[in-house]
Amino acid sequence: MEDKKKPKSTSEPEKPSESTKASSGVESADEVVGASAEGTGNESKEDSVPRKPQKPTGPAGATSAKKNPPKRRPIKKGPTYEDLENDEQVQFLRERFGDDLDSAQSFLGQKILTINPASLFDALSFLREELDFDYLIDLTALDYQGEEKRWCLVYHLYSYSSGHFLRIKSRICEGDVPASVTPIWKVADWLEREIYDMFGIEFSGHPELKRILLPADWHGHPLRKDYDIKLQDQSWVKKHLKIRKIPG
Amino acid sequence: MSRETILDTRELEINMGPQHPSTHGVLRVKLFLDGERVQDCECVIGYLHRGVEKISENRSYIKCVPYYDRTDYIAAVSNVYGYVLGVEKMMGIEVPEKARYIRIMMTEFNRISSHLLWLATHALDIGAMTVFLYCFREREEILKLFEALFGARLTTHAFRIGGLWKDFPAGFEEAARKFIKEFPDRIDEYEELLTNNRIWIDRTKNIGIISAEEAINFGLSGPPLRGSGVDYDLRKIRPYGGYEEFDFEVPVGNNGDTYDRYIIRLAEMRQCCRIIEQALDGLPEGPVRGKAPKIVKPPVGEYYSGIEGPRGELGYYIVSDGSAFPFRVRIRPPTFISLQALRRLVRGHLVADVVAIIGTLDIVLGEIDR
Repeated sequence: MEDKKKPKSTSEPEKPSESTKASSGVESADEVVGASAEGTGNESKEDSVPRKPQKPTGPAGATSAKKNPPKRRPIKKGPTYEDLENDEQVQFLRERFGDDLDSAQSFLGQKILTINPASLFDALSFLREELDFDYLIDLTALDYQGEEKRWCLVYHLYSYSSGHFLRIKSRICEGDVPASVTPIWKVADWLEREIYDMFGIEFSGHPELKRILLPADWHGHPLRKDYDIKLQDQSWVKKHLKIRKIPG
Repeated sequence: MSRETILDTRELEINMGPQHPSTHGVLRVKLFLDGERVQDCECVIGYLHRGVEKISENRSYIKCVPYYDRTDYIAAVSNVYGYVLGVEKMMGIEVPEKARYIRIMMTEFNRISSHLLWLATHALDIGAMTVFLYCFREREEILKLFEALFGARLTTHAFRIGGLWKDFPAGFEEAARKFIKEFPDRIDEYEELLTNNRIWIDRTKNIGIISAEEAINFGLSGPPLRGSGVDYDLRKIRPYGGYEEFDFEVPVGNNGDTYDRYIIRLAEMRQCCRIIEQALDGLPEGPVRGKAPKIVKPPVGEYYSGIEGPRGELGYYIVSDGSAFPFRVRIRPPTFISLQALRRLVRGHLVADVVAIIGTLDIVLGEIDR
């Protein structure tokens, strides 16, 4: 995704008059919701250019305007991450885990706790046993490619008795093997298999860690950011679908 | 694994699916049998995997929407609803009152149509042919309503970020009112055919029992969870989109068997009618499309938007890095998680009951495989 954007953005300054036309066209369109199918990819990059239709002052004027952006439309202040240190549950956890609880925040009213992977399993079983988070809603991973701690495991928990909703995050490095939470919640079985399938993260102590959605002999993990959307396991396709020549 | 057979006979492994009509799609279940008793089973899924989550990362927020129609094609309206709500929350977009009401109304219509399809196929699997035809008769009416409002019957692309595509067409309200007026009688008709039917009771009572504690541990949601007596409905627990303004009940079972789950779904359809009636009565005037920017760029952050779909908790975990493309959209599929409990539910039952249990979980393979 990133790669596709770069070459386009270099060609941008060469034709500024076109870009202003395009953005002014957007401005006048009545339809609010359905963005035109073609335009969205390009328009997203033109957002740094002032959106109001401006008189074309030639290529030089447009580029200088870009360097020191004048009168931007006032940006509506979006939601931000808020600190959550004073929360009762957070303090309870802080007492038990100390610095292993990296941060406690809330975003749009949803609590997010970041926990050091070393004590992740302990923390989760503590939440299950002591704070009664008996329902694992969802378990998934995020790929921050290029960062030292590449993966982020995300657990969504819910407690039937107290009605609390909680998100636990934990950043791990590539090659780390976090402990499986199947002993705590049986639902984690397939969810962890899906993460293994899609990201290639292995879990220790999982009853049978194998691919779930993709074929067993597939190579690669599609939800990684370095796995291009058009990429597929050519050798698998050739072998099983008997396609001699794959177009593209 | 301890799978000893009774008469010291050889354990038999048979395949059910992926082309078996009662597996409701391309689900392959490997059954390990002792005579006709199921010792164990293994689900093989993924035949319909299209990588919707990967596609989402490569499309703009608006262009993602039609793909979610196609995950659970039977409940397309609810599927879009969860995602659209999440993006609106992150962007801080206000949806007009009228659009909110229409959304709730259409989602409930969708719940009815989804439950009707479930009842039809579930009854057909177990051997009641008539109900199938009756259910499809009513479902057709709902699909006609969808077609009138959204322009499509199944893959509706129902809601847009910020509101709706357009307002009701002429005659829509009357048609909707007519439907909910007649529909409770139709449910009575189904009940007459099934609820006290000796064969139906024999085939569903005490089949696939799961306790409340276990159901929670297996992550079940929706009717399978409520059948076990857990009062968990996101419309009540974390109300979204204005459900707190509506008056309805959440039916709950006691035994956690196939029969209870059937009773619950029927009761839910009656509640849907109540909600739709309230929405029609209180329908405000005004526009149906709010102010949404052309380019949807939620601020850096994350949000989990969960709704109560017909099959259970349907969640969208949206992570934004501030660009026009989602950093990640994770779909929490209700039936992917329910299907996991199949292995636990079928143990010790007959092969014919496996069909009933798969039916009672109300799975949709399009959503399981995504």
